[in-house]
Amino acid sequence: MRSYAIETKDLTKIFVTKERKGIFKRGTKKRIVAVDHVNFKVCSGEIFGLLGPNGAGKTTTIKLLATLLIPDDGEAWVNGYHIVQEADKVRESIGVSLYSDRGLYWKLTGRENLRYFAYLYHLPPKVAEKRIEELLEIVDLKGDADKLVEEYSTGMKAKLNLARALLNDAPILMLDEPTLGLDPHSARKVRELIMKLRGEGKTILLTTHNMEEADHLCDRIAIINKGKIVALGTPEELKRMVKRQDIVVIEAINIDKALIEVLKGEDYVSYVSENIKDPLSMSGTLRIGLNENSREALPNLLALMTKHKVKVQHIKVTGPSLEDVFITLTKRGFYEEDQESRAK
Amino acid sequence: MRRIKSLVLNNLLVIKAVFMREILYWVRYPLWFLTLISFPYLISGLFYSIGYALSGENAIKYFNQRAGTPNVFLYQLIGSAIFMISILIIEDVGQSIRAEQFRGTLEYNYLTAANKIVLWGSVVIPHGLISLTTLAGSIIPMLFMEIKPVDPLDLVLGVLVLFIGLMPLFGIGFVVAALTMRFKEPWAVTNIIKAFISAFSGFNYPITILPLWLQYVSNALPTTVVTDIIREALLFNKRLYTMSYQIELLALMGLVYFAVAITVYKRWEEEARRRGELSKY
Repeated sequence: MRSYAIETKDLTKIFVTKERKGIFKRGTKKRIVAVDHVNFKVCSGEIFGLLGPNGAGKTTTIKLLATLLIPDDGEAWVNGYHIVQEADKVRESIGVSLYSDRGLYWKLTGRENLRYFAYLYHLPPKVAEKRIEELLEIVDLKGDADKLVEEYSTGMKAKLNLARALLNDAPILMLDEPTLGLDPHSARKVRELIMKLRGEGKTILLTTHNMEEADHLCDRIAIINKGKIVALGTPEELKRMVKRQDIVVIEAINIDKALIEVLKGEDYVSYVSENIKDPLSMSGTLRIGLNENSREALPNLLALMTKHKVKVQHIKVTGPSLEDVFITLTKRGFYEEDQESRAK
Repeated sequence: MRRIKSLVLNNLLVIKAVFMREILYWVRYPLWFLTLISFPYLISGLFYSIGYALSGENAIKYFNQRAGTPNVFLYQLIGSAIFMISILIIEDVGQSIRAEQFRGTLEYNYLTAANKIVLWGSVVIPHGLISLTTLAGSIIPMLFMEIKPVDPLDLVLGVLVLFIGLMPLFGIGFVVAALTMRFKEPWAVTNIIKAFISAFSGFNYPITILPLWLQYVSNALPTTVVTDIIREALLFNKRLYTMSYQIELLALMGLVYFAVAITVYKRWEEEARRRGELSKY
């Protein structure tokens, strides 16, 4: 019997995709290594986070562990069961939430959705009804339980999704971006619930690309990039991997590429990472890692901003975060993939 | 013994879950009732009219010579009703899986501890039951008007024959389901299967009018055997127990079709998991 709640050994998943080029031209096949020899062990009762940008391989890892995918190489065990040879046992040991607002029957009520899945988990009717009541209470949906899901807000669907993952009271929970698309209040509620579940002894594997969330929730984090784990440890251990330096975070409008290039060329700048949230107004966040004390660099930075007509809305000097760990280890911005796909 | 009991109870829970879900969905989208009630009459009327257009006044005379009965409309009605149920069963599992893919619920169903054959196959029960009830409601008035009273034993046997006859179709349905899971395009295959079955099962004309080699093909179809048995009983008042050979043949077909289908389904389900097709739509 394996002693870890989850254990992976060189877990690998390769997808073959076909590029499409018009109607008659045959596209070329492309191999994408979504998960590349991933190794990690999750102890019972811990919250383990897979942190990485979009397309890093987090969801594929969860799907492999949840038996929705078959690995091309390597092995993994969940609750001591092999994910390929003992897939049924694995499914009985896990509760999974994959998409915060999809995967529900919209023409059924919240309660009917839970009842349906409770039966599929083989909960006898009386036990199911009791469990559904408990869960509706926990996720704060009791008042809306008899409304059709099509009338639910995104936050309510996310809560219902979480309640479904808890139906079978499995020892291991796998939550894929549980707070994605939620308003701050709903996201906080979900985070509180995750902490409560950890308190009840559940093992939680969660994926996120929200740095603060990972830092706040996880006992240990694996930073994943292009299918590979680039670092693994507690949030504090990971942050210690980065040289102690000041980070300037600037929220601004009209951020232009020329400014970023200029900044990268400055001696006092070790790296620049941008996260453009609105491509129309070019508003977003600049994260600038400094080589020297920020007090000396700040006047120069502000002068450059003024010169490039960047409208600064907020500026703060902070210490390294998990985002800086990611940038240092991968030599790329955390949101680069997003910007590139948006640009395409 | 306890294990078997728990296995049965667990699968019954799965069947109940799917049954309740489907009934709720159907009640919340109610207009399909109209289709089921009217279709056997519309199809029968269509063929009746085509026959009349081709042969005019002599149509019924010719039909009687070839089919052995002048009761064209009832002949068509029985065939059309069996055709509708057959198509429903062939398409149902595949269509249901496709709907789950679109809704994003397929993976969540898949993640549960439920036996997947029972889970996907269960949709046929509520759909079949509702269709049968509606169809019975739609053709019973016609049966009362046109046929002699049926022995209750034969009625029970008739339902049993229909059930046995549906098993091989259920098998074909699982092959379609496997296709859906792997290729996402069940329509092309189901349409070919539907066209093939409707042309060669003798739903609307006796298969004896086909060339001999096609009659052999036709006889290998479970739908031909079911239609034949039910028509013999309802139209020609033949006692069902006298057709035990055909019923045994039907049961054997059911086993073979079903075994092949489950093997194909399992193979393609694994392939879908390997290629990451479960989440695609």
